[in-house]
Amino acid sequence: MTERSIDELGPVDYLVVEFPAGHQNFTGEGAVELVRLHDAGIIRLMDVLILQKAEDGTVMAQELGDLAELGELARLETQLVQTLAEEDVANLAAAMDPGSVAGVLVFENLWAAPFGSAMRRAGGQLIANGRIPIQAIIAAIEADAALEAEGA
Amino acid sequence: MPLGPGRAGRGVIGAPVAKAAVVTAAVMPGPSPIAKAAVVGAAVSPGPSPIAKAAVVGAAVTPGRRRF
Repeated sequence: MTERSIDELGPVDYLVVEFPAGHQNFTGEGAVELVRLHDAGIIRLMDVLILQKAEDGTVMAQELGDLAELGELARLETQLVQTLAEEDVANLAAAMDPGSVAGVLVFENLWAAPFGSAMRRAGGQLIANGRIPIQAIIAAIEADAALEAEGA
Repeated sequence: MPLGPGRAGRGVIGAPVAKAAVVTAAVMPGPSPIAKAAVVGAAVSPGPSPIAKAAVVGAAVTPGRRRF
């Protein structure tokens, strides 16, 4: 990463993607897509952890570099910055079901950085943000269509 | 497996993360490959943020036409 001031950073998000026991079909496709987003400058992958939660609730955390087959992620591994601390592991794993595996991703939204900087320079402050699940949008569209069909 | 010394220090998550519950709630039958669901999330903001931690309830449906 080139030198940038803190004001030039885009918003940083994290994702915890759980793979329940019996539903783990790792083909490498996700890694390819993640690298594509990174290479395209849409996100900057900052940190990755792999968590495994045993049936008794104990959690094992692994670094990306601990994996035998990194595939496309190998060249990004050296650029990670270990944003998450060990104390974060328990907080993140609280969302996991026993027997599951989860990938934890921390990434900077590069696409949003220039806009965010411009808003800050203009005196703006982020006071709320969130994500609308695509399922909620589909449900809203279909509810509208249902009302229309009823002649509402 | 203990993590390395680079993982020491203050965390950034701040509190246990609540699992987003995905509840299937099909509104209409359709060919969508995406599951129709009402999603109840629980936003967690790190640390002693001055921003209030909010529980976000998805799938509010209001009548009227919208453009997406």
